Amino acid sequence: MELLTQLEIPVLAFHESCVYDIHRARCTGARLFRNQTSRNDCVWIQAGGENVHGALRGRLQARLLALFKIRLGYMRQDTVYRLAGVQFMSLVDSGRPSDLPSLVPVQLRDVNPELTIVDIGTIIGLAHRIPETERRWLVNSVIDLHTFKEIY
Amino acid sequence: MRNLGRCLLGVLAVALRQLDNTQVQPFRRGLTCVRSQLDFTMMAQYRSPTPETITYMEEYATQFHETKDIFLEFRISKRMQEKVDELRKELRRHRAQMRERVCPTERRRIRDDDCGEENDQRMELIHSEWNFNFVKMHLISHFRDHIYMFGNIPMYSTEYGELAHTEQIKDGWRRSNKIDAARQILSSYGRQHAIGMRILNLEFLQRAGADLPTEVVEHLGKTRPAPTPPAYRRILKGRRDNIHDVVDFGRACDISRETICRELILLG
Repeated sequence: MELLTQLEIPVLAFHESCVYDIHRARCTGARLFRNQTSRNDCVWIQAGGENVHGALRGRLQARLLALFKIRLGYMRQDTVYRLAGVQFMSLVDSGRPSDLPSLVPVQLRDVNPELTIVDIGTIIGLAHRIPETERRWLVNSVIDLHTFKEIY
Repeated sequence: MRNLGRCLLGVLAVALRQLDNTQVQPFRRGLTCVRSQLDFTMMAQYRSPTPETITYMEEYATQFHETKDIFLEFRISKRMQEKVDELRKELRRHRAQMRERVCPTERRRIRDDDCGEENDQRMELIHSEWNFNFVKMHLISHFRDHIYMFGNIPMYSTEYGELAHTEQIKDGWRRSNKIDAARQILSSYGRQHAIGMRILNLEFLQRAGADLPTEVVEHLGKTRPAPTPPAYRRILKGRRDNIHDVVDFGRACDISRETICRELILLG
């Protein structure tokens, strides 16, 4: 088992077919990041088809808790699983944007599993959210053109 | 402004979420204005605009113009502010004279009414003498025609010119002997540009099957940049030491061992 601190996610640049932007998602776990608080970035995870999760169209926001590799060494020598431990945010009002600012609110689940393990292939990019209360955030859909087009 | 715009809407929405009855209308109007301005800005950055996106863009611009007057009172000059203060003082003096002959209960009611009236008069004065007529605000209305005539808006961004400054001036300065720098910078960029053009021409001729001298073909092979591998894989970096098993993992991430094992089995 290997624990890692950074995931580079290639995201196709807006209106481009072969140019990629690299999103660097960091996850330091409980350890401090540059002598400040620990850093567990928020990412988008593809969690279904485009017709689920309302305006988010099949994607969910989650906080990275761990990035790790598991190497299965005995029976299947070459198999390496590259995984991420995440904490999912649940949608408020089925992912419908709020009335005026048209931003989708998300919150921590009440019956939240502490950790969900997903393949890093399902992570599609960095996400941005603005804290509303301690357990509730607004998904920032105008952070870049890609998100604006996907979520609006 | 661009970076501010990315967070502005969310921050405003959070800041204005608990309002009293008198604040609801103006703040909603303010939010609508900011939202439409941001939407317009985002749409204007599209590099392949379609008639549909251009129509959206125009709708946002119209909505922005309809609601922008909510911010007018923050644009007034010092002279205008003095005028507003003067008006307010005059109104208060006049009311004080009226109120002398009224009982205290009635006086309180009149004071509330006067407050509303004072605000109305203030806004009326501001709207009559101040406006948003300046060039940048007017330019928005020409974006549609500009796109139809010349192409997308980002193509005319001044950022490219600023980036060219590094290549044209700074690199030239570094290459110069710092004595007769201006002349050397100019000739350095001119030479580079000419060589670049020459190489492109030769490459085109080579592709077209022209008979080029051997040394030229060799040189073209050297100057051609190595193709970069496409970036499509997710890469994990920053391996942490001393993590060998689930116990170390749980300790490093502050997650219980049972949870990790349960989730791994579920993933299984």
